[in-house]
Amino acid sequence: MNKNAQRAIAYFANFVLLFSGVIAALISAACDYTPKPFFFDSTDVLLIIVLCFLAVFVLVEIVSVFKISDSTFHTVLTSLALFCYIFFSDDFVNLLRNTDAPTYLAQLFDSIQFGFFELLTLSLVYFWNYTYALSLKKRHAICLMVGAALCFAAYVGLYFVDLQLVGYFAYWIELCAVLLVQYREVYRNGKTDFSFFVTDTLLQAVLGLSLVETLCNARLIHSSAVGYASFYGLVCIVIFFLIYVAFAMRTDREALKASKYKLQYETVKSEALRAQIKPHFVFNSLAVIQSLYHKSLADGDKATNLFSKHLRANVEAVNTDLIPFERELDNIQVYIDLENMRQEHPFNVIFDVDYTDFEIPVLSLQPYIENAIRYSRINEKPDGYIKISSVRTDEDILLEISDNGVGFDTASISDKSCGIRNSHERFSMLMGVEPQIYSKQGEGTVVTLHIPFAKESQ
Amino acid sequence: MKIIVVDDEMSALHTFLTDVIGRTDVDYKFFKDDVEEIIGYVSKNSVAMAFLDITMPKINGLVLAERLIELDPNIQLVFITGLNVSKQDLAPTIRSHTVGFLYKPYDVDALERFLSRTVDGTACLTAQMFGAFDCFINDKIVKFSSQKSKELFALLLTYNGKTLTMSDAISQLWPDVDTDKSKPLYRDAVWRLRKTLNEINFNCINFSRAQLALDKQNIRCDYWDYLADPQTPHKGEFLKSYSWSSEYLVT
Repeated sequence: MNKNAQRAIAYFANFVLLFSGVIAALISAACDYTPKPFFFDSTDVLLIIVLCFLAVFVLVEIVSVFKISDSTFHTVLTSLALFCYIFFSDDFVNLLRNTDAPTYLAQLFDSIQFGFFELLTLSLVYFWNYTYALSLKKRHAICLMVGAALCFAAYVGLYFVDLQLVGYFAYWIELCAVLLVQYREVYRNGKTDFSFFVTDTLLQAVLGLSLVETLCNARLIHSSAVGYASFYGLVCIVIFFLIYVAFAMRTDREALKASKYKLQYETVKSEALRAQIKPHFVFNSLAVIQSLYHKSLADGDKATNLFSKHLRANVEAVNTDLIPFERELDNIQVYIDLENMRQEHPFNVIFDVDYTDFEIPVLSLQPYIENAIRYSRINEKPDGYIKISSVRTDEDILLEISDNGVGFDTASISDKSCGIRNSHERFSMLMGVEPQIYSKQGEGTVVTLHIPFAKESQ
Repeated sequence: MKIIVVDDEMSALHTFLTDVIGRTDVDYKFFKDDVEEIIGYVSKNSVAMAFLDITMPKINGLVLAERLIELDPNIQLVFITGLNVSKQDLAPTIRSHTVGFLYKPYDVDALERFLSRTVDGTACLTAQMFGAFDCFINDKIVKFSSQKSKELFALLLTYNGKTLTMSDAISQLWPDVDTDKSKPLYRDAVWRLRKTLNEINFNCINFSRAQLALDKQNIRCDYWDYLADPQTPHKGEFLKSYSWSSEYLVT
């Protein structure tokens, strides 16, 4: 399923949920209103337990923010919290009383009062959004957090007084703000992910519930509407659970993949470094330097400097993953100068560089240049060239390494050279970029890379 | 002018400074990493520049640098190192005194550039446009990495500070080449020119998208002298190897 379809379905589901909640509330407006009993006498112990749980959850949340795969844990916690919210709310208790359900069930649920669970649920949702907020711009995230804190304070402060309605409204406004920011981000970046769907669905659910709750407390609608709202909550839970299963499976898979990836990347990188220092290249270069010193001291010095620059770039690569494109071009220039030292007909390289403000994996372009030097025979024709172009387009940065050499049959390169395969792997692991190679016999070779913009330059 | 070199081993730098460059106006003094001796010398003499090895057994070059700066706030520093170090890695006080880094094995040209900065103050570029076109930085010839980047620089000098657009440059330097082929060649020339100027540490061009502008400060050019006063004596034909040059002499 493509991203747009996913997004469309999520939006549709969310709106249906929100409106069904409101409609349910309106339908039930005709029913009798019975005032809510005020509670909070026998539940002190419970309060402490719940608060302890909450504290632990919050800690876990904060810790898990710094880990890669935090999403699975969130989903479990939040689903539990939502369950609690629905089943122990006095709406549900009322509902049980009005149906044929055994009375002890209603009493049981009644004794565990819902206020704390509501607090728990909403705080979890907020903290989940805190995780989400980390991916937002700093200003937005801070606004959200401050808003959430204020609402919390309002809710807790006003809970036991007659003004609790204000607290409810504060919630309502905050939730709306969170949703708006989310929608805006999604529209702007065209970025969709499961964590957005899940958070959003939950927020919609809570939004609907607290809307009904608020209206009910304001005596604008009958309290039995809250019963319908509970059903609405149940619908949310079912949908949420479906999403959760898919999400959990995916994150588990990704976490597994990520740990494998890391290991694989280390191997690939050490391979790259091993492949880079080519003994024959080193000794050939040294021999050239030696012979140059016998011809002219200045040429020998120049060659020695080139060679040390080349070695330095390789040594540096050990501790680097990505380097600025410009530095990589410098490395390529040094490599080509070294190659040209021992060529009768030098290789002509065109640096068609229009945009340099990006990074690439260290020593990742050199294998393509090496290949062009080794196989394209461009130095045998008068207008032969290797061209490195970088252009910024609207969508990405187009990087191209082309030559007008002899070319080859792309079907025959199923086993690409070690260096090129390695460069491919590093490009795809570090940047999600797949280099494309086109080649035609007699016309030359083009390697195309579409480099995405770095996040901050957007 | 006095220069000190601090290196714990008898380095090749000795040979380069005394034999290869051999400037008679400079007085070199070589030290092993004996701190007292160095401090004593620097406090008694006005030392213009210090070449310091970073890793030495008795004292770290950076620590020594701090003490030297305390003794002589005008001292200029060049650090000798094998690996890549950049100015960002230095403490701010040391950074402001650092002229550059000298990597092993030594690049004689870089060494000379460091020295000429101390001896001559700000670098000055001399362009010789009559006869064969060549540029000199502190009397040393500038090696351009391609013919076309050199020609582009000549064109910029000819433009005399005016902005040179990409299309103008292409129409003069590559008159017979298709646009889709000449644009890469233009960008290649720009890139190489930029690298050359970077290397000699003389960034006199404002590179922006599809246009170039020359900052005339610290550049001496015989063509500009000629423009100011056509009676100025000059030898040789103006930029004779470039086909576009003829239209610029008629002013």
